[in-house]
Amino acid sequence: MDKSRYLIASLLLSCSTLGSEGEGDRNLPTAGVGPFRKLDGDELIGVPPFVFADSFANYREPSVLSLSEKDPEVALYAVALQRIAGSQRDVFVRSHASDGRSFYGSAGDSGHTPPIVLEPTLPWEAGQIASPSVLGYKGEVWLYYATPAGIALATSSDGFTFKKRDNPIFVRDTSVAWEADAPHAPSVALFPDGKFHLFYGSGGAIGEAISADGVTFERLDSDQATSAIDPVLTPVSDIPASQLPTGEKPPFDVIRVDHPCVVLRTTVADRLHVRVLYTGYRNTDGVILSAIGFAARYGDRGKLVRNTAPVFSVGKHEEAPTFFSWQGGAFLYVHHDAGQSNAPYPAVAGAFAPANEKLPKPLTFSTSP
Amino acid sequence: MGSASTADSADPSANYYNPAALASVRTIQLSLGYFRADHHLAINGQDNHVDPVKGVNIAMAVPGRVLGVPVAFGLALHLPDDRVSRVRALRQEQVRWELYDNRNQRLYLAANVAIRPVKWLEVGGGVSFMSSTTGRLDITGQANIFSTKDSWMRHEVDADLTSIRYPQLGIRAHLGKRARVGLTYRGEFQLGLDLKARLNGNISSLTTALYDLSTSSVNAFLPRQIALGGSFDVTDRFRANVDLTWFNWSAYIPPVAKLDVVLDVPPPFGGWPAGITPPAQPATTIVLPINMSDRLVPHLGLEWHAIQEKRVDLFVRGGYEFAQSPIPDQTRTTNYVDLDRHTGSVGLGVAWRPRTSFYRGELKLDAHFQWSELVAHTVKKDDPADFVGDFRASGRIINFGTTLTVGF
Repeated sequence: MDKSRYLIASLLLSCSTLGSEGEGDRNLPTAGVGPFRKLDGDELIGVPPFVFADSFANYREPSVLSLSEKDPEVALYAVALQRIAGSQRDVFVRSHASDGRSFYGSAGDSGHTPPIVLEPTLPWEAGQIASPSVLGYKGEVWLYYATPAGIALATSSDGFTFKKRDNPIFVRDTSVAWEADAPHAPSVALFPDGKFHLFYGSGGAIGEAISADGVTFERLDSDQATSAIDPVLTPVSDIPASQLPTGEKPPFDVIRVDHPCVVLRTTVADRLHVRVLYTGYRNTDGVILSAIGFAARYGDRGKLVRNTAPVFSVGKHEEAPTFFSWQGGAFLYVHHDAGQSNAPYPAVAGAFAPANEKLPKPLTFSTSP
Repeated sequence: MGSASTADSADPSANYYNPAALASVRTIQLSLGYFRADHHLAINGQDNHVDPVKGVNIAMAVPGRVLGVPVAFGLALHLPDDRVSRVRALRQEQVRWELYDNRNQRLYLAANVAIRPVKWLEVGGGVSFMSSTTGRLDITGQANIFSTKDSWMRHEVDADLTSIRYPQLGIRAHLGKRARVGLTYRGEFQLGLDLKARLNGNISSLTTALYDLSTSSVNAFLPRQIALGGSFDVTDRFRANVDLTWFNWSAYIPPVAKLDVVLDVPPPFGGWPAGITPPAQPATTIVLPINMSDRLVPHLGLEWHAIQEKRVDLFVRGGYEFAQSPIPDQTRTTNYVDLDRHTGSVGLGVAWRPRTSFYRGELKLDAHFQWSELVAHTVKKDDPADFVGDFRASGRIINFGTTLTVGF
């Protein structure tokens, strides 16, 4: 009799269990560049989606240096507004986060101020430095940055104290028709053949140059079919609204492409994959809108092919992307409007991919920059 | 036996392999079995956790005579033990194991009849039933942006599990005592997933919002199949089976939802406030063709009658099949992943004929273990700006099961 009861109870219990939740879409492959989603409130200590914000310092134009392949530990360099005795200028500061989100010295991390690592001191810098781009190379940190004279370089053995080159390393070439202004917004990657490739903005397009030593760069022509030196990425032609299919959005990068951020990878097919995030601009009814785009190529030479969809677009003047990936995903950082809509200020916002995955709770603010 | 059973069934499994073979069943047979197929499918070396297919199989074959002609009736049921039916609607860009991910998690029921008009010929046919899904989601509410506690929402979900049917036909001829040939036709089926969602709301009495969405997709598709098989008794104790199955994969319909959306949010009196952009009508999905190819799949099965006693028989079985993937290289926007598949299987069968006072039939216990090795393949994307990028797919499927058949 007891055995019967146990049998009936077991059967009832087994009938009352629920099926497991269906799966089949974990660990899906990705090129590692989004699309990205904004960080949520429970993924950050401060105000989402900002990871490095200060209404006084106006942090912007971030560049990250990954410090670990396994963990999202990064050093972040950004432009900060320094206000001294009624004047103001831009300087570079450094911060650090062990989780890619809780940066030392951001709003809410009281008592900590990110240290200044570079300020304009040389005559040809004309008091203006911008667009830091960091590269780890042979135990040093190489910091490329923009000045009115062109792109400059400073190097550091500890990531804090930088020694500048005496002169800009890459200046405008007036024989290149599309370079309408001084090269700026540098992003440098070390290719597998040991060559440095510099991607830069100029004249509303993105160009590429190559160097054996990271100092002396020579422009690369992305299209050998023409005699001129061609950029690797240009804006696309606009599509009139009347010609767009229902629901389709117009191209986001029709008047200018700028702020490249290049990151390499070798795909499982053993192909060199040059991935570039950039800022695309369009003019809609007199309002300049921006979004972050993705362009890429296979191999070390040639034009970049753009994806028609932006990887990050929130309508808040997002610009200057930088990103890194680790085993758990990829972080994108941009600056965009923060604060009240009538008095916005720039701050560094974070986004994450794969967009359908949730990040664990953030760590506390980093205790060192 | 590597599924090489079109010409060699004499039990309730004929409901699937060849309904004509039901006519050769001599006694009433009931079978109860369980099987489980675990997918270990990985992309770039990481397991994608594709659900296993598992469940209970119940089948029966009931022989008889009508006007002196042998006939038989058969039923077969596969009852998944996790869920009765699973539906998913994914974007066509989403990476998915197209032929394993979702298609096999279905309730399956087949009913067949067979007849043996002459001693050497059997003919059979029937209908298979599969579960299908239709659903509706209605959301009505009011959003008050000035007083959130005055906001409310009512939603209603209405989903139906319906059935669809497809035919199956079979014929089997006995060529002497040692050889048989069979031919089976299985019809195509499409499991539709039709969903309607309607959101009708009021936003703080400033404006209204209507979002009417209809999607229609084929959530699972099994192509027409024609299986031609031969079974040969090489010796008294050794049997060899060969099957060749044609799959009409070129008729495959991509499981992409066709969207029909009406979005109407009229501007409030005085126009939209600064900083508020009304949502735009979503873009229409342009479904890209999947361009699958028809395939011929060979199967080979061997059976050794290892022990042949008065009360007990023991069978040792082995099989092999090779299925070339019907899905072309996914070098462009879509990401339907599939691979060529080699499958090897082994099995044991025991038949026992007790002669007790309460049971004098035959009990059969069959068990199988099957290993499918998917041939690793690397997909190179044409577009370097593709969000998925190059990937390498690989995997294996491990399947085991057992069936108890009781003959009366």
